[in-house]
Amino acid sequence: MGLRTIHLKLHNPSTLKRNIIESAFLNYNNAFNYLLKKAFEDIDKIESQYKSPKGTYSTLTLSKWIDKELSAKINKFDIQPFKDSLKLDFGMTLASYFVQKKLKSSMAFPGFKVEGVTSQDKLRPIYFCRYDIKRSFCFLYDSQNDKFFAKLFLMNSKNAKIRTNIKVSRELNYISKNQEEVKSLKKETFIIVPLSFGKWHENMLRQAINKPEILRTAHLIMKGNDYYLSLSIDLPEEDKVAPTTYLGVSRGIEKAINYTVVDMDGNMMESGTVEYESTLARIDVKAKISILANKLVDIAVENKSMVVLQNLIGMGDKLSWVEENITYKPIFGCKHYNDLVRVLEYKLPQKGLPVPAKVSSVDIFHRCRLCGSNTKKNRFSKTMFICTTCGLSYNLDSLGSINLATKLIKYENTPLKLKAKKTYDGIYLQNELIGLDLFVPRDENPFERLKEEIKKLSTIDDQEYSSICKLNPKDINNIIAKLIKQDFKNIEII
Amino acid sequence: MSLYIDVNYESLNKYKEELCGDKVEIIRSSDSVVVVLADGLGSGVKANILATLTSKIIGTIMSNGLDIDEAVNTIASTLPVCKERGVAYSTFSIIQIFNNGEGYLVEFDSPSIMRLRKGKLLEIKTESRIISGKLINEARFTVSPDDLFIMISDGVIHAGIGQTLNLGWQWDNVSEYIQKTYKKDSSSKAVTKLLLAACDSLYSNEPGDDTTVVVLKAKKPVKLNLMIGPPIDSKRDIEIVNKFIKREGKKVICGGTTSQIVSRILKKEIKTSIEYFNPSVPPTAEIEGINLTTEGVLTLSKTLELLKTCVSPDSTMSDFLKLNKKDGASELAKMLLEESTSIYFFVGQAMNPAHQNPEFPLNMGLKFKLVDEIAALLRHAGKHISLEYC
Repeated sequence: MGLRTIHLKLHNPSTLKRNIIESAFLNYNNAFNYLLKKAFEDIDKIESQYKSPKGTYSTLTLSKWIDKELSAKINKFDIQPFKDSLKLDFGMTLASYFVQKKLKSSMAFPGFKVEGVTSQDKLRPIYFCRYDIKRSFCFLYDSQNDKFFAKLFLMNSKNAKIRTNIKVSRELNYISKNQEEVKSLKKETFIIVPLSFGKWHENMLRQAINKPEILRTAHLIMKGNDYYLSLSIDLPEEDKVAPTTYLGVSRGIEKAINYTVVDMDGNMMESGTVEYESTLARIDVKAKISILANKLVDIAVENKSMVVLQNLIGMGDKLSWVEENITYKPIFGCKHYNDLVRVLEYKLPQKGLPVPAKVSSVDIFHRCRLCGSNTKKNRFSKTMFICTTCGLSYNLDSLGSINLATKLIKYENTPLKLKAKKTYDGIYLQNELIGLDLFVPRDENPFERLKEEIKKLSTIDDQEYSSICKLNPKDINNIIAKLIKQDFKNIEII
Repeated sequence: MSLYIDVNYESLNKYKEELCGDKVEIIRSSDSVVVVLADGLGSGVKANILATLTSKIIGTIMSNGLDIDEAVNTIASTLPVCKERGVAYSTFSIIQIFNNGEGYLVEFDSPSIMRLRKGKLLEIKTESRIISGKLINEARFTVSPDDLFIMISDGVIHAGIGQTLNLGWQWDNVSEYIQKTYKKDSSSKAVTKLLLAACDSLYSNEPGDDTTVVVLKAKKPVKLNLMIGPPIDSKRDIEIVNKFIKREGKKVICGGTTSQIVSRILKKEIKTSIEYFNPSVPPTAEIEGINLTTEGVLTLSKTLELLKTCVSPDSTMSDFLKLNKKDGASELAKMLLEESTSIYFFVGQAMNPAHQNPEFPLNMGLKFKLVDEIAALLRHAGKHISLEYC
């Protein structure tokens, strides 16, 4: 799934086109207001008659409440160009109202004006429910000048534009399956407006030139004196990439974001920080996070990485430092780091990489990456780590990211813990997770018996597993396979 | 009260230098140990010569009962003058600890010696005087068991300077680190290794200066008695076992048959321990009154391997950390190397046919070879070793 919304600005529409757009807004809003008024009078009946047997409400079904008679009545608002869209928009609004009313009985009905909507009111966006070169909306492309245009059907035949000159000033083609040439008509019920947008949006529109099926619905939005087309576009997912490295991304006390790439054995390959250029210091935080996220995605794609992030929801990482009564806090607060996480969670799958893993980071700035010693004593200063067990020193910011990067490898290598109880006659060995419950008489080798029993466990069927152990069969088989692969060295007696 | 002084030192050469400009001299006599750390001016050959002369002269003079004045005067008149710098200069620090617990230290232009008691820094109050134009600090004090003394050269103070730490590690931070890392049962070698590993890491493995750490640990003598193999004459089993049990100190038994003999004679049960599962080392057992009971040849072989690694000059901190593992070989190696000051071996000469090596003469077996190697290694590490064949 790659459905996302992008905003394209209508570039400098002329006064005539502005007037057409403003009329369309008023018409659409008054029609919508009228429908709401009518629905309100009949709401209880609608609520009961349009409920599905499962108790749910669907947009399409609710839109059918607008019968032929009502449909003809709303023609007075000149909404013929977008009547289908209006009906669906109305259906969506009612469906949403009924769902929320179920959760909260005091939910208010959507507001409407008794006397009608004026240009002074806050206007609802115009919904275009389908991409179509003959109705609703579509895009045009001038390949010679590399420009994009939107074609918006906003008028009915009654108030259509009459062209005196049907000569075309530029060569335009539809962004459609057949890429037909655009021809001017004497009577036009649409406007064509150039679009302006950033590089990122341009990249997506270009994909649509060859794959117009990715263009879905749109909303025409008014913001101040400007108009935007809010387009839903279904971007194809990149081919899935099998990760061959891990990329740990941590926040720091000197640098905002630090990263380390390790191979599957935990050996460091690359390490550094990601920053935005100082010239961009004045841009808002959201934009900064987006820039940082894009850089991290590039690194992850280049290294085919499984990204590992800090889980800072409900738990901290003890990165702050107090020295001589001054508290030094990380550059990125928890909120901003979590915002970065949310952005990465959708950007990485778009590039075919797995959804990033979020892991506990309570120890990443205190645990030695060489010997595993985990104590606060290991932190020497605000920026320096010196292990009190093996002497390894490390820059604190870098340590966080490398510990993150190797976390999943450590989880993978965590030993299987066995409960052991000695008696006069022998020894009991137990592990509830894999359903192990073994007694070894004193005259037998407990290790050899254990190996035999675990190998036997790997052959029992799934149904038997569910009755004797806590984990699902797939997880159990993974654990047993790991034990066999490491020749049972990864066992710990407790 | 007689003390055993466990001494160890290690150095890092300045990056790209073949010779170290720091020199350590350790001289043990019947009643004391003298340790001298000298740091020659500059680096390389010249510094090495200066430091070697300084440490040798001081060590020899003081271990022969002469005083520091004599040593300093001799140095002043002996050290060669550098043609480039026009001076003959080497810093030094000296500790002399007597078996009866008396201590004496002297410092000249070197970082102050650190002293820890129960893990806390204990200030050494020094008095200054001038000898041959040199300002000398000296102190006399009493040494208690488990007191730790750390002598460091400038390279430790400056570790990381301009790289990982702007101002270097600095004396206060070094002493704080040593207190943080203090463990009562750590040997002087382990402390030396740890401190030097930290310096090397701070220097990003390219030391900017010769770096030396010397650690002295005062210990009450800890005796260990080790019984390996059954006596050649089974009629002597009771005699040997009783002799073994009556000896002062810790008791370790190596070998299945040997443990059964001890168990039978003492009328104590053998319980196989399952507290540590390591497929490469046979499990240990428990006999009441015995500190450690292990399997025989396989465990001894692994123990020897661990000892060789730890005693080697190339050993690292991670090698020492392996001694903390719970298998029989690691536990035995730790007891021999880190905990004991003198070890008494009872070596049973009964042969186990399964252990015969055709390359050795009939009167040698794998077991004896292992024992000899272990004993030699421990002797080299400063332990008092005794062997009794039975």
